Amino acid sequence: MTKVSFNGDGKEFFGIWIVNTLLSIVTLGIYSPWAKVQNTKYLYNNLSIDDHYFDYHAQPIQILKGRLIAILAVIIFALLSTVNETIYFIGLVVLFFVAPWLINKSISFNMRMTSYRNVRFNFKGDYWKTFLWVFIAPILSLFTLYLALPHVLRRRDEYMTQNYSYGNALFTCSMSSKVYYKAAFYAFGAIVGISLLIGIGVMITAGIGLEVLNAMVLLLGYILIIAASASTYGSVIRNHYFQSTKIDGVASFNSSVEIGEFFQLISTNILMIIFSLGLAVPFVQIRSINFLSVNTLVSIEPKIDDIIDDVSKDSSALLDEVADAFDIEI
Amino acid sequence: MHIDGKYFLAQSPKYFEAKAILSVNLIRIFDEENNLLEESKISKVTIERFSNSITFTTGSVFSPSDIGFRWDFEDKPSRFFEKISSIRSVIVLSILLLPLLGWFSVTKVIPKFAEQVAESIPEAYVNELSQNALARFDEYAFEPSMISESKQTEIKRLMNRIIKRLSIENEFNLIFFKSDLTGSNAFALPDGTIVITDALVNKLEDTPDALLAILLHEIGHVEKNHGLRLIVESLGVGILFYYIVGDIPGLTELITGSAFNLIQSSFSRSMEIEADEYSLESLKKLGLSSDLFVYAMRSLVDEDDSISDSNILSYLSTHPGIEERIESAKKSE
Repeated sequence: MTKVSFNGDGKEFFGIWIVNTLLSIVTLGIYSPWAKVQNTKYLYNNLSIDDHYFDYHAQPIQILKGRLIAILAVIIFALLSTVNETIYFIGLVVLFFVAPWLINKSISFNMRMTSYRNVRFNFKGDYWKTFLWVFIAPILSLFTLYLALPHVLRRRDEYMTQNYSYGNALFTCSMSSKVYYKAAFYAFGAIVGISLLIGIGVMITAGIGLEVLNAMVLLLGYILIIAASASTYGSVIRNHYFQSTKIDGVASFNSSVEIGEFFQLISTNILMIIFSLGLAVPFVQIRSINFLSVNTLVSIEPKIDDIIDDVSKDSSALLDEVADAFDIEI
Repeated sequence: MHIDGKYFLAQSPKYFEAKAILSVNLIRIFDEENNLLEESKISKVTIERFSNSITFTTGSVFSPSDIGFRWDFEDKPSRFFEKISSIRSVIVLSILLLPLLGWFSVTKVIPKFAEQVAESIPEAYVNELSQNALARFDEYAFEPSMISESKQTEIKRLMNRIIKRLSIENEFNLIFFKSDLTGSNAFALPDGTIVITDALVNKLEDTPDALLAILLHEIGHVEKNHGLRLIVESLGVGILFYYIVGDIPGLTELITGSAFNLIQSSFSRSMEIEADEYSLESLKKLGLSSDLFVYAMRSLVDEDDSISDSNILSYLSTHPGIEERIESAKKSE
């Protein structure tokens, strides 16, 4: 197995990012698709396996068109729904049923715009299955007091992954609910534990009567909770997910993210962003990708040469970009 | 000169280590044994923006090993933007300009734009919107007014008189309600409906002219189209944030919430100030003293000490601190 290598440089990416952000603001968002493409291309091009780098092929002008149409739809809906509650209600119902389609289209667009070794990725989601695993099942798990949720999430991740493909080769993925329960248990434990600590901390600072300190303890607690739950759940699931996923005869994966290191990464990321008032974002992205790629192993097998890229390279399908503009990520 | 890279067959991950050699208007790809793999006119190949991979008409692709490498014949505009983002002085300038321009577009450009848009919103829509909002208030927060018919008519007459004297063209409709929820308060809806609570009327019973100052403040909101502008501005900032910040994964949740609220409250703060100014100017035109405004503000302070000024809080609140408003009223004399 070979390590995934990432050569992105924080300083270099910062330059690209800040100039792009400025241009986006100056042009009131018109430039933002170009910014997105350049930023993404920088990150993808610096990510490589076996001396081959990834690439991103979306065309800015297409993204812009999609966004303009999406914005128009949102504005019309916003204006109509302030006038009439029935329209608002109907709109929500329509959105609920359109959402699975939007999700499928959006993921598909992003996958088709991504390539490795001249072959595009793809995602062919099934409307009803996406509807079931992304919306219905998580809602239904409420009736089990969320006890069924880890199982639902496992089925969702499996379903999604099994519909990813690399050229004409499908991904396979079979995971265990047990690991999802373990991950959920860790995350839950971390949240409860830290909440208790914050509770004690707040009681002490409130007792002294220091309101400023009180607010700081709360903010720190909030960051700790996010970092702890994301790192415990994230590392356990990611490792399991990579070990359980492969493209038969073409590629297999491994991941070895440690909870402690992951926790350190996420908590320092949040602090960096807060104290830099957002300016550290490009550095945060670079160090995050760096960390994840160091902890990821991929084995590419010779049969990869048999793969045919049958994925439509057509990036002009307007509906896809409109769907992407809603930017729904799971 | 030659460029090292990989040559991929069309629609395939199969590749050869290769080099590209350019002549005047031709590009040729050779493998390691110098066999010619592909030859094309430069004008026939395509290169994506911000990239160096060359796609030939045959569908095969040549990717230079050095991802930073750029072809001379490539599309000019995107190369310009790439180049400037590696110049140190441009980057430093961007760091300085970013907060400034962000602030400028949020406080100046978007409000200006919103003003234009708000004016072009059809009246039927505005009426519907306002009556809907009123109906909801009526349902949840209001009870029928206890102010006597004659008193109500008297105040309405007072308002209509000044509207005429100030030659205001919009139509206004004054409505009285009793509300335990909002206390002594008044607000305006975009269609010209002005709502005033019993508590406020009772408090200013002996000084009808002070009530006038408050009514003028509300008329100012309608005249300046504030309600609609606020809606359009929020929408505009929302979209701008969504796409600029939204392109950065994970950051949206962190930033949008707090920054968005701050900006929105700053919008409505500046609108309150504008309405105050309108009220003060109108009082002057009517030959009335701005003391009336100060008096009306004072009477609001008396009721609720918790809204008295605290520096941090007044910065975050939607209304400027009352002492601040009184100060600027005094200055305007």
